[in-house]
Amino acid sequence: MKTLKYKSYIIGFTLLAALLFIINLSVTHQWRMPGPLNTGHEKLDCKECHEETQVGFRQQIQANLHYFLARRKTGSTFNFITPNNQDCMSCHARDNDNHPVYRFNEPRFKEARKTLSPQYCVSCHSEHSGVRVTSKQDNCRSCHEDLKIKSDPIDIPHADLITLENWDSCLRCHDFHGNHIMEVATQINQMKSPKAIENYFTGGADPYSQEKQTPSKSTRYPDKLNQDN
Amino acid sequence: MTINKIDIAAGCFVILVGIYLIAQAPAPLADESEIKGVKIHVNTLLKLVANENNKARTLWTKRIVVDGKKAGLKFGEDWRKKGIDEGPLPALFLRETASLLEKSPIPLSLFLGSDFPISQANKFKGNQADFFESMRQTGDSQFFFDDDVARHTAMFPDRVVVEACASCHNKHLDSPKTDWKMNEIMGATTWAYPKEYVTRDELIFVINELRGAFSTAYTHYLDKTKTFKNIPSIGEQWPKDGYHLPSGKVFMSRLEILSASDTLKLLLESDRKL
Repeated sequence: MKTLKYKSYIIGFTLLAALLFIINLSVTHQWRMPGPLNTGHEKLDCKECHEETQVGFRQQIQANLHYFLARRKTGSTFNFITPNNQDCMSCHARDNDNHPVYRFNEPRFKEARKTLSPQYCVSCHSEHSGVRVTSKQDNCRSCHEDLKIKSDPIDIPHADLITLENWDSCLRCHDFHGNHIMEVATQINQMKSPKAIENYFTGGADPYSQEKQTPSKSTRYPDKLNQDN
Repeated sequence: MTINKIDIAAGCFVILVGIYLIAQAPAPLADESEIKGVKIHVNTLLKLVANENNKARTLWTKRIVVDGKKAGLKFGEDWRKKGIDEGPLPALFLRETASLLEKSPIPLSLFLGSDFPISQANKFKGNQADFFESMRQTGDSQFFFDDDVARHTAMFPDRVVVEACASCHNKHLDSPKTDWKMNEIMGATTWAYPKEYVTRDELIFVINELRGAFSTAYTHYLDKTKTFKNIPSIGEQWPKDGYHLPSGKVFMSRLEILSASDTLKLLLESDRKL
């Protein structure tokens, strides 16, 4: 009876070790993903976003233990650095972004930060969702409710669209980051359809334009790209 | 009490882990929030960067935009668009700098706003509007801690430095205020930094990075002028001498001379306060 018990322990431990070994292999990285990669990221290597820490495992344990015991002010991440805006900007930085995330750190956006957290890229582009945009289409209301344009160029004035709370209409003329090379519609009948925008959000065709002011980079490691070529 | 093999194995495992994590532990990780050496309060850093920015903004407005318009150069809101032969207006030069700062390794942020902005999206709200109101009444800079983003923040008055600022804003179709006057507070620059104290080295690093951002913003403008139909000559001369622009080096040398005195004064003051 005792031998059987020990054998069970050994078999269980061996299976667990084998399982841990297999899911840590690079070929099985998809098993560890919390969900499918977003549109345009499908071919990215994990390391494009998940950078390994440059310090030892023991130092990380030590730092977090000391942080837990209030013997230091900051802790440490384990194994990988938590992806942040800078990681996204490695490929998506633009000189002319209409809504750069950093601007939402200004004090006047406090209310918007409470509801949308627009200061983080992932608030609208939550990774491992298998789509392009994960936010709602009517988020513009958080900052533009008091929009006033004296020289309004469109046939139904912006003020009327706001009064009607037609917040879904914003993205039917404007692309949020302003990276598409296109003419902005001045007539309501030139607007994109709600379906086209929804389709774009979920990873479908780009309704604005195929031309971009600043195309995204395909990797943050250009040396690697050169090697592959 | 009997000790079985599993207890012994578990004990050995704990001892090994203890040796691995504690007895043979490598040097602890540096705590980046810990300040070693001279501590300088963040308000000094914020005053320093605001001073540098004031000088850059005045230089850009007076010596490039105003003199440049007389020499035939153009400046506008759509300066980034292809085929538009224009440079950035003063607020957009500042925005260019702010955007470059965000790409730099320092966690310094710069914003520009007003209570009467041309774009309503730039209107102050919440506590920032209250601080701006105090600034309008007293003319004093405002310092506070923005708790939800954990940043030490300061607002500095942004005044009408040349007549052209007032006349352009007064004429703009979307301007909610059309009676701006010289030296009036048009808005405020808001600066934010996450640490309460910095080292002297960090302070110098921040100034260098900020100057680097001004330099790159100016270079972006020079690059744009190379696409103009009528390309200005770039070198030692300034627009006051004709259809010329100073090179990046000449522009930055002038800026360094203009800001050096106040920057040194603030640095020495921070040293005396210790």
